Parts: sequence; C-alpha cells; structure tokens
Amino acid sequence: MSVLLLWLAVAFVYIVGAAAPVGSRWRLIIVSAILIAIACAAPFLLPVYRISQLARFWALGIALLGLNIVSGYGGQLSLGQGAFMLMGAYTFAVLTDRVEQLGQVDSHPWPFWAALVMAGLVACAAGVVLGALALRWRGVFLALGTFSAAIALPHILLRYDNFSGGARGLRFGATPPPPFLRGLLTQHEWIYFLGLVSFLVTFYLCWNLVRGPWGKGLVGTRDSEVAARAIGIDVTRVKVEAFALSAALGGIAGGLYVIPLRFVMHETIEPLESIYLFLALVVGGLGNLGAAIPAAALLTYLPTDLVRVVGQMPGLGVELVSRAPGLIQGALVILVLLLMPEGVMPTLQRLQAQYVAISLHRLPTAILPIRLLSAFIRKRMALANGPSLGRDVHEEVRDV
Amino acid sequence: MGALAQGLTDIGHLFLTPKPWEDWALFGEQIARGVAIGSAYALLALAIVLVFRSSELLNFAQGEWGMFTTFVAWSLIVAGVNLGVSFLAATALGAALAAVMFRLIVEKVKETLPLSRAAVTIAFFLIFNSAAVWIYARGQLPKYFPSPFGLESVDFGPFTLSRHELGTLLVSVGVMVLLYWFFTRTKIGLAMRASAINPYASRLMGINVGQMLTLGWALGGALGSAAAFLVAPLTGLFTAFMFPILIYAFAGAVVGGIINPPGAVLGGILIGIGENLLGTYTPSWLGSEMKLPLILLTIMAVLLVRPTGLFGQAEGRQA
Repeated sequence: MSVLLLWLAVAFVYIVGAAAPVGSRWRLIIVSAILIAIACAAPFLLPVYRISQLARFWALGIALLGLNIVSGYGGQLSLGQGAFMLMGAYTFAVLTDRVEQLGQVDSHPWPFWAALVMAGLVACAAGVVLGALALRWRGVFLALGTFSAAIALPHILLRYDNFSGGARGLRFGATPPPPFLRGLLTQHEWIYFLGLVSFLVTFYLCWNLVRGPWGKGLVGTRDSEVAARAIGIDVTRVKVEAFALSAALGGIAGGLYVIPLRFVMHETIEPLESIYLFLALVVGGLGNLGAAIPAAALLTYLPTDLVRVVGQMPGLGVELVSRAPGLIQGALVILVLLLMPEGVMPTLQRLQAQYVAISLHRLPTAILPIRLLSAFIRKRMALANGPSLGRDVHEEVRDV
Repeated sequence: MGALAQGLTDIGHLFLTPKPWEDWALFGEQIARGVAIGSAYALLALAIVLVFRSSELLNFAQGEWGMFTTFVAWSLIVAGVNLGVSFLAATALGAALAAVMFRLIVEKVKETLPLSRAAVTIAFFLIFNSAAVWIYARGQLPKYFPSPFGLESVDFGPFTLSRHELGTLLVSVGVMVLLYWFFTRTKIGLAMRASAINPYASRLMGINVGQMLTLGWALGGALGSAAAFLVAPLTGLFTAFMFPILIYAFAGAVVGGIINPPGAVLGGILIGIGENLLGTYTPSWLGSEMKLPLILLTIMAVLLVRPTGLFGQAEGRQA
C-alpha cells in the first residue's frame, strides 16, 4: 500500500511540479530535488522485500536507459539487451566471490565496484562486436540477429559449465556496505542506494549525452543516414558507439540486478526478458529518456503486484492470477497501447503541459498551495504594475 | 602415411561424430527427415511472411495461436472426434482467431512508435500462452498427441522415414501448391498481393484493402495452426512446444528474405535440414545443447553475407 502512495506522490510531484510558478530552470531543479528526496526516503518507509524489489527496479532502469540510447535515439531495434545483462551478471558473480562453487572459493575476490566496472567492460566488448555485425542489418533482420544472441547465450553458459556453473548457477557472497556506511545503513538499504546512485549518475550522463553533439548525431543518423553523412557525421562510428554504450549499461545493470539475489544462473535473465525490456520501453515511450522509469516500473510490478491487484477484482479468481499471470500482463499492455499510443512518458508530459496551460483557478483543490501562491504573486504584480484586469492567471505564471 | 591418415581421422573425430562419410544412409535419412520437419517450419514461416507482407510486422503470437488451437484439437480428439475433422477445426479456429484479433485490436493500435503493433503481438503471445496454461496445463504434460498418419516407419531402401514425417511433407507440399494457385490464379489472391505491394493503387482499383489485410492474417493463423498440428506428434503437446518452432520459422522467413514466400519455404526447409544434421553430427565437445545456438550463429553468418536474406531484395525497397 505504502508503495502505491509513494508512486502516487512521485506522479503528483512530476505533473503538478510543472505548474510551479518559477522559471523553467528552477522548476527542473526543484522537481528533481523533490523526486530524489522521495527516492531517498523510500527505503526507510517500506518493508524489506519492497526495498530489494526497488533495488532491482533501479538496475532495470539502467538497462532500459542503455536500450533507449540504441533503440530509441539510435533507431536500431535491439532485442539483445537481456544477453548483455546476463553477461554482466555472470562477470560480476565470477569476479566477486564463489561460495562453494566447484570446490573452490576465490581467495581474492574483487571489490564490488571493480566487478561492476568489469561487468560493464565485458558487456561493452560484446556490444562492440554485435554493433559491428549489426551495421549490416536493418529492421527485422537486426531484430533476429540481436535476438539470436539473446537466445544463444544461455545455451552457451549451460554448455560451458567450468566457469558458469552450468545448470546449478553461481552463488556469491553478499555485497556489504563500505566501512564508512556501516552502521548507518542496513544491507538492504545499502544495496538500494547503490542502485539509486548508479541510476541517477547514469541518467545524468545519458541526459547530457543525448542533448550534446553526440546525441544529436545519433538522432540524425536515425532520422536520415544520408543527411547525417552529408553533414559530416561518422554514421558507422556513431552506431557502433551507441551499441557499445547500451551494452555497457546493460552489463552494469546485470551486475546490479543480481547483487540482491546473490545468485545467478542461465535462467536469471531469460531470452524473452530481452523482448520484455523492449516491450516495456515501447510502453514507456521510445526516444524519451524518462521512459526508463515507467518501463522499469512495468517490468517490476506487472508480474507481481499489478497482477495481484487485478486478480482481486470481482469475477477474477486467485487461481487465474497464480496460474495465468500472462493473461493479465498482456491485457494491461494492450490497454496501455490503446489508450496511450505514444507511450506513458509522452502522455505524462502532455498532462504536465496541460497543467501549465489551463488556467490554474479551474484546478481542483489538490493544488491549493500553488493557487494561493500564484494569487499572491498576482497581487504583488498588480501592485507593482498597476491594474492588470483581464489577464489570465496562466499568462502571469508564464511571465514569471 | 599411416600416422597422417590416423591424424586426419582424429581431426575428423574432433569435429564430427559420427562421420557422415562412413554412413551415407544415415546422412541421407537425416536430410530427408530435415526436409519433412522443415516443411512444417516452412508453413509457419509462410504464415509469418504473409502477415509481414500485409502489415509489415513480425507476429510473435503466431506460434502460440498454433499451440492454443492444437490444444483445442487435442480436447476434440479426446472427446472422440475424427483426427481429420479436428485438424480442419483447428485451422479454422486459427484463422478466425487471427482475423478477430487483427480486426479488434491490432488494427486499432496506432503505429505512432515503430513496433508498437509488434508489441501488441508480444502481448498476445503472453495472453495465449497463459490461457493455455490456465485451461489445459492440468495433469501430465506433455500430452500425447496422436499422429493422423501413424508413427510406423516406411522403408525407402537406403533409409527409413516415419509415416508421420512423410504425411507432414505431403500435407505441407499440398498446402503450398494450394497457396501458389490461390495467389497466382484467383482474383482474391491477386487482390491480396496487390494490396500488399501498393495499398493506394489497390484502393483506387476498388480493392477493399482492409478486408485483404484481415484475410492475410486469417491465412497466417490457419497456416500456423496447421504447422502446430503437424509438429505436435513429434514434440508432444505442452504449452511451450511452439516457441523453438517459432524461432526456427522466424529464422527461415528471415533467411528467405521475409517478403518472399518461396524463399520462406526454402528457408524453413534449410533450417529443418540444418537442425537435423546438427542434432546428429554435433561433436561431443560441443554437445547437443549447442544445436540452437549453432543454428542461430549460422543464420547470423548468412545475414552477414546477405543482409536481406538469401532470397531477399536488394537494399532500398524496404527493410
């Protein structure tokens, strides 16, 4: 229940925050600060299993940010993100620790951060290879080529079991918090914050990247390769770089994903997971950086909580929910696509824009403080500028 | 010399076990088997190509619709219905399912993002997979699914095939000939091809393009159901049995060039042969688990050499 309240608070701040009567730069800073504050407060308000769930949520968010770079901004349909996650997960598991694995315990385990970086690098190397191959493929051929990688990898891991542990998978030790945080945070909270900070850093970097020249070049390549080439963009290089970056983020996400599980096997991230990642991103809104949040929420809550909630509706039984969750998941995805054809995030942004555009005095009392504030500003301005009858509130807000 | 020959044999052992040049009959039998099972993959690949040509999307639900209708056919058979009748019922149900789903939902979803319709078919994949689990996955799985032709083997001199494999081949070839006739000799078939190639001109010619699209989906659904019905006696009937087949069919369709029906048939058959040969001759250090990855790697290699499939069109027309 409290998780639902937190998410409602996030949505409320996100939409209504746009109406805050301050300049756009300050608005951005204030809204992000409140959202980050909510994210930081979350682990102290939620039960333990919710915290682990959210830790996986941030990991999925990072993988989705990567996928969005290559598929959303780069326009390259990649159905192989799950493979990169699995690579990262195995790299992390092998490097950190092997507990009673193959009769040997790694006496010099890597620190978690080095293992995470290595997970990213290994996946990045694979991404360069796949990206170079993908240069020749387009459309469905690209989809099949990348999906082949996602299907093949678990089989390969299953077959070559002298490092992957085969069907038994790999267990590894917990990742304890660093000394300066010991005592401040519990194990679960530490892993949550590790995921949160990684996500925020990744998000900030991606945000800068897609707004900068490299991102513009990538979008240009997506929209017209010929035109992009004509203005001097190295199309080949940009495409491979996008794949490499996306794979690296996938690898890091894979490592973060398995930290709370302390276990990885070939089925931890199934081939279909790659398709689900893409599907979630389509629902969230391709080519929109914020889409990672609703998409990760969909992947996190759809198989568990949403299905349970829908199952409690009259006419549907518990049996349906436990035996056939896919029925509800599929129906929900279709519903979202019918109602919000461009994805969740663009729809939210439109709602946001409407909040700024419609006159504030017609809004429900939910945003009473903002109404009062804007009325106050209006009075002050009226005093300063003389009578300004007939001006609408929203114009004033815009002026401010 | 002796040492050299020994060395060569050792290398042969390393790569291929058993060696095809020591037992040509086995080799021929595996190829014949591959053609037979490949013809079922070819049917599903044809279904994928039909849908792709009419709506430009990959239908991920194709395999699961086939799986679902095969379960329905199974319950008909258990209730005592004739095998042939239940086959027809399953294909009709597959066609109806595909047409209704297309008309009611796929068509309504706006293609504002690339692949949002493909996302809908993935949602169908989930829905029908779950529905089959919910309704049918009770008791022992996989269910025994009887073959309409029997499973006794037929002797062809150097090798043997089971009657089911022979029947699969005959039915698939029959369906393909029928489709060929339909698309080249009938008015509706020509109208379907026309509306796939140029919907605007077709509309000007008085063709109801929407109807033709629905018909394409229905045909795809029927083909998918037929393929599932033919494969089920070999794999046994369980809720995941069509997923690898769908991958093979995708691969076949893509290798064949995705918009080229004869290419899809050839692609499907090539995949069938490849699957059988790899299953038989995979060296021990690779193991049979590597069959699927090896096929996929082969396909990736094929796509590297010919990025639009073996029989696809040159770049420029469409992806």
